[in-house]
Amino acid sequence: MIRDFFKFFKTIAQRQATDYVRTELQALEETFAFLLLGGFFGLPAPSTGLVVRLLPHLGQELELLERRVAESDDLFAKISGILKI
Amino acid sequence: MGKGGTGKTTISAVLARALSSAGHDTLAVSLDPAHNLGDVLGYALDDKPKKVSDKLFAFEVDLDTQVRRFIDMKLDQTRPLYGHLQIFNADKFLKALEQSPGMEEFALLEAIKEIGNLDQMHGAIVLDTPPTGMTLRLLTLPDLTLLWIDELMGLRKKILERRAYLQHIEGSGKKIDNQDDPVMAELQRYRCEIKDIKSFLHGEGASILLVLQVDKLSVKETERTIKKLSTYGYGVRACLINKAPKEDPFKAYASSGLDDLMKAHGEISWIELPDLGEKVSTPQGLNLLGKELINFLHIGDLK
Repeated sequence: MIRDFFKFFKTIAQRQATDYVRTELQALEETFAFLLLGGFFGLPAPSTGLVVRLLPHLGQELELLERRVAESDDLFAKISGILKI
Repeated sequence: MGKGGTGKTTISAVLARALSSAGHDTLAVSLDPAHNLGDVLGYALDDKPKKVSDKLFAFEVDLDTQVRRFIDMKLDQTRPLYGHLQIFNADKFLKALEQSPGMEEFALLEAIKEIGNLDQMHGAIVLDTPPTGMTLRLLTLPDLTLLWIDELMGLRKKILERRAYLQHIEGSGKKIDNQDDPVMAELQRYRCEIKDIKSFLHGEGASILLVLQVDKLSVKETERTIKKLSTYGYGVRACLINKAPKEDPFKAYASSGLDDLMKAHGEISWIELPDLGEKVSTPQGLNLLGKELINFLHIGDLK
């Protein structure tokens, strides 16, 4: 019982300690994905060749973007997704 | 390199023939999407090196095929990964990229990488470039790409450090190496390739020859090209004045602005090539022009 309490306490402490890093990581991951796929919405983009070279390895970044789109409750993005635009 | 229609291809063919006649194992490559190197050499060329004469090989880079082959390869790699994603249609994205700005330059860069790999096999390589604008974009691409790669690697490093930190705190304990991340590994691989291309293009044995004619537009473009090349760290070894007028050349040089340009760039060799008229399309004409070029360029040390 006491062990469970300390385990729970440790988890909370860990969570608090890593919250800042987690938020920072999320922002960095989004920046990375936006930089590579920014051409979609007019951000300066790296040379086409570089993006195409990296594309097969960007599964995680694209899933992250998809999650953000889902969380943002953006109807237009959802319809675009369904229609495969 | 030079403005369209100034005679780049003819001079490339002449130079390649002259080099091979002087005993160098020579490779002539046409990078110009409007290929006619084969027509000048009198030999049907395709995208694989073909033996034109004893010491001369030549081929024409087919940009459309190069782009399509690359896109198809990437499609095969990306389809299983992205098939389930709703916001991203990899097929359409990559098909659209085929026609995207920058794709031809990228294909050219890939072609130059392959040509650079053939460097050891040939004593001399002559590249017949596309018109100036595209060639300048191509020459700036390695530096631009390196800049992006370095920025992205810095950002990726920060991401990996934070992921490793979180994994460590949360107890998985597995040490993450930068090399384990496929994105970082691909960035590092591409960085090495771009560095190789850069050292091939900027190498000690590499020379840029500009071809121009004695008319205002051609002279102006040459002036801008020299300036831009120097901004990107490329020097011009010689300017070849094609079809130099026989009669009263000074008047023509002065009225076209060539006179001033030559004075402003005394560090560049200015080589006048005679107008051979119809004779230029004959083997004798090509040989004659080749001999002139060899004399002026001190071909022994040219690569």
